[in-house]
Amino acid sequence: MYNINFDVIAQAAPQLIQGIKTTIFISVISSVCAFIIGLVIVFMRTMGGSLLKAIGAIYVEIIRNTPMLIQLYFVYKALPDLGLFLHPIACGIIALSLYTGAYISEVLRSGVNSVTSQQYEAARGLGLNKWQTFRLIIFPQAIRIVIPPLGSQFINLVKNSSLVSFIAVTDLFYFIYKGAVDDFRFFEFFIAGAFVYMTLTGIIAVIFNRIEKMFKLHGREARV
Amino acid sequence: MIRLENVSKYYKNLCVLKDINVNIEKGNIISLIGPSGCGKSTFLKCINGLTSVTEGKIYIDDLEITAKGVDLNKIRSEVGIVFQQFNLFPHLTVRENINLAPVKVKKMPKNDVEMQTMYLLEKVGVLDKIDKYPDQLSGGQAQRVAIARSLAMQPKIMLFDEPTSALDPQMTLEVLDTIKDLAKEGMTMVVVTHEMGFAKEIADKVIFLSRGKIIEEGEPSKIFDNPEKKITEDFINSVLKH
Repeated sequence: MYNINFDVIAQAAPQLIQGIKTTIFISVISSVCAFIIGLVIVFMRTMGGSLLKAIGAIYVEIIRNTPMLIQLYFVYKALPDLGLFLHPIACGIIALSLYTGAYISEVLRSGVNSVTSQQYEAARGLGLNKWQTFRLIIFPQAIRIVIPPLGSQFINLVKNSSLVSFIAVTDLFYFIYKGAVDDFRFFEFFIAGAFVYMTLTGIIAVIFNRIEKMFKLHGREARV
Repeated sequence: MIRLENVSKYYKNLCVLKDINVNIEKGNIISLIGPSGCGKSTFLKCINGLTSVTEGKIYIDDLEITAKGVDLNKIRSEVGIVFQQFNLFPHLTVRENINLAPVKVKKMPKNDVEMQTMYLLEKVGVLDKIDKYPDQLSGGQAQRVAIARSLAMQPKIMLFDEPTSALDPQMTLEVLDTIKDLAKEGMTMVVVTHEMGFAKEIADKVIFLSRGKIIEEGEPSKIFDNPEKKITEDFINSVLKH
């Protein structure tokens, strides 16, 4: 019978904490970048001309129809062939941002599409340009609608960040796996790992619940 | 002041406006009537550049707005438009709805904008709602706020797209009174309306539009009481029966 012994986790704690820090670092930077990418893409696809629309659509389709692991390895292994050498953490951030950005743009796009065209006409009718219309009228209404699915995207990002251990980044998953293999303590390390990831994503869930309430508090959900 | 020359508008193969020629003088009030789907809304949207024309030219103060490279944002800021469904911005208060365009488009100083907003809300009679959100207003109040929002840009022309169609009779009166006040001040206006009594009272000219063509135009008394064409007469009778 297998003896469950969580003391091994305590012994590996310093390394795990180092891993958690790396995972948080990668996740935070990637979240910001992914959101910005999502914003740019959704602006291109909803307000841009036909060329920008096409570029945005092609980007999203390429990203979401290929495995993230291929994208990760592409940045890590293929870019150096073109003379671009980046730190593995930078590679991880780039791949995660590009990947999640495509999904975030789709979430935002569904929000933008749910704002009626009359809102667009009213804003343009007052003389606001496309960017002002998007920034001041369309986006604030769209974001209120898509806060829950948007939160899911950031949660996915944190979980997907575990893939960066494949390209030699010493993140949380790397140390969990290392600890498990070194001590033959798979049960303890994977349970502990799952718990830590759940804690991190749980924080995001709480933050997004707050944001959702905050918008309600300031009155007026977008009524369309 | 506004001149449309041979304006036509197609959506793919569908003809929405056909060979429209209209001349609107400063201070004129034009009432546009016609069955739904006849191109009235498109007519208004062409005048402030929300929709591009397929053929023909539109001039505002001798500036051809259908020419290439014209700053349409500037034209739109000078031509106010009020919609059937009010289209207030639901995430902004009444004050913010009205302040927005003067601050962001005209770059007017904040203090001046605030003063103007208060003045306009007083004028349309909803000053007490200044810090409310649009979903806290009645339809009539919302439409009057929408009118104030357009006026805040100090437009040369106001376009109204069936401003009272979504309102009950009481609220309709409130909004019509507001529009009448504007008429008294000499504002140039194009009003799409089914309120025949109102059109008769304030319009200098009535244009009857059907299937994208101008069927008949003239003084209200002529169009309403002695229409030349059978189709005009049928339409007016059908509206008056309701």
